[in-house]
Amino acid sequence: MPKHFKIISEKTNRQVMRSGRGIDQLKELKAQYGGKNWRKCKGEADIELSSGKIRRAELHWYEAHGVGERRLKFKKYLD
Amino acid sequence: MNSATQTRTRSGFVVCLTNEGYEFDLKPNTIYEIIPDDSLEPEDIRVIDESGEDYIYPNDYFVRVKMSRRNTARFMTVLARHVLTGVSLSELMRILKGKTRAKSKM
Repeated sequence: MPKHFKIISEKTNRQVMRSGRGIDQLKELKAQYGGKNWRKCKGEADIELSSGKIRRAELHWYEAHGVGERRLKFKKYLD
Repeated sequence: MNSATQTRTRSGFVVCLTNEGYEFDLKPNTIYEIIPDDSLEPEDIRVIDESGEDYIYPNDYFVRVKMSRRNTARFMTVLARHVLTGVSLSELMRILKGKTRAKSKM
């Protein structure tokens, strides 16, 4: 889990960006975690930065059946 | 403007010092391209990571690479010719010395 920021709210506006073979890292994700039906997703959440500041952010991650969410990353600020 | 601000708001390249928490997205001792972004906080930097997309990472995970204009232009030409994500320091040196073509990651 990234230590750069902490998610302090529920993720909202969850969307699937790409799925299955549309994901460049599919082979690597399957090799690392197993799982089926991988999807690259995005959503919004409030995050607390290492400075203590709280901002609204767009986050990206991968998820699959039997694995859950992996490789959470910080795309951009929304506020 | 302090050096931390310069690192995140000017284009250029940085070397990754640590990838703690991002073991699949960043590689230590690897060069990444900065994407300038004025919306970032002082502790942030935006780079194109191993996935080929740009994301926000901790600024202190990186140190700026200083290259002459000539070498920067040569490096950018190589990047434009091949789809590259992270480039190791040793690979960069070989590219700049003209000893090898950069490997495509397509």
